[in-house]
Amino acid sequence: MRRLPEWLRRSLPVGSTYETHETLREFRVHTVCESALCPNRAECFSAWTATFMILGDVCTRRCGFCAISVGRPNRVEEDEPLRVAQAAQKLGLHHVVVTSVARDDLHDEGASVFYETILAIRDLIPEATVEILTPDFHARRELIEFICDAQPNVFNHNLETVERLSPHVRPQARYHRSLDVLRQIKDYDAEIATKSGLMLGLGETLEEVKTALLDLRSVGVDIITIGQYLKSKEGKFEVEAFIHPDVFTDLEEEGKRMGFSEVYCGPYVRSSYHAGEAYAKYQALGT
Amino acid sequence: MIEVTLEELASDVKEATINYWFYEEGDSVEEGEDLVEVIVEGNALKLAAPCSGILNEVYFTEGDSVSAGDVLCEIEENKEG
Repeated sequence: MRRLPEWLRRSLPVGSTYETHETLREFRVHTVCESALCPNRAECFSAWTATFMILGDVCTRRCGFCAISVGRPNRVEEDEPLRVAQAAQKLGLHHVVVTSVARDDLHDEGASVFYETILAIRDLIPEATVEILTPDFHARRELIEFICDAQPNVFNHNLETVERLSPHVRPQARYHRSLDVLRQIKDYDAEIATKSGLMLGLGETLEEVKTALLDLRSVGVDIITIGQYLKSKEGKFEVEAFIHPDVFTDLEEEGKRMGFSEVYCGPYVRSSYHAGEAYAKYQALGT
Repeated sequence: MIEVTLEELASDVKEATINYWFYEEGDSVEEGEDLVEVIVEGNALKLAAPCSGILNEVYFTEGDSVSAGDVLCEIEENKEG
C-alpha cells in the first residue's frame, strides 16, 4: 500500500451529522455524497448541507472512477421532486444542488425529473438558488433546452478528465459531447451559469489539463472545479499521481487568467463542494 | 501491554481502511510517532503511538476494513527504571 501524501492528511469534523441523516431518511432522498463516498461528506453533513441525487442510486453507466452502483436502475418515483424540495427546506438550504445517476434507459434520460425538481424547489423555497449537475443527455438539444427552461441558476456538467484519457475513464461518454452540452446551455440561455469539473491524478499531463481548461473556456464555462482523484474500494482506477497543492494553486491562477469567473482547485475540491459560496461569489462579480 | 484502539471517527462514520503501517511487529516505537495511516471516506488519518515500546502484535493488515472500537495492535510499553 502507498502512504498518502501529507497534504491529504486532515481530521474529520467533530460536529454531528445526525440531523442531516435524519432529514434525508425522513424524505427518503439519496445523496451523491453517500453514494459516491465523497471525502467531504462528514464535513458537509455536519454543516447541514448535502447534494441530492435523483432518479435512484443505480447508474446506467460505468465510469471507472465512480463508486456509485451500476446495474438495473430504480423505478422513477413521481413524488421524488417534492421530497427533495421538502428535504432541502428542512435543512434550511439557500443553495440547493441536485445531481443524478445517468438514466440512459428512460426516453428523456431523466430530464423531466430534473425539470420538476427545480420547479418543486422554487415552489417551496422561492428564495433559494438551484444548481444542477447532470449527465450528458447525449447532448440532445431538446432535453438540454427543456431543463434550461426551468431556469437553474447553475448548470454543471463535468468534463471529468482530459481528452486522451476520456475514452478509458468515461467509456460511455464523449469528451466533445460534454463540451457540446456546455456550449448548448450557454447558447440557449446566457443567464445560466455553467460549471464543469476535472479530476487529476489519473495520468494526465499538465499541458493536457490546460488544454481541457481552454476547451471549457471556449464553450463559455463560467465556474471550474479541479480536485484530486482518490480511489474508493469500488473505484477501478489506481491513483497515478498525487498532485501537489502548489500545482492546484498554479492551475487556479491559470484558470483565472483564461477568463473563468470562478476557479476552485485543491485536492479535496469536488463539483459541489461549497457550491453555495462559489455561486455567491459568481453573483457578486455581476457576470 | 497497551492496546491501540480505533477511536470514534466522526458521528456517523463507523468504518475505516488500514492503508499503511509505519512499523512492523517487533519494531521499537516512540510515543507520539505516526503508527498507522487509516483512510476514512477518502481522508487520510494518522494514528500516533500512545506510548513508547515494542510493537508486539498487529491485528489488521494493510487493506483491511476496521471499525471504530477495533483494537488495531498492541504495544509492550517500555518500563521505566
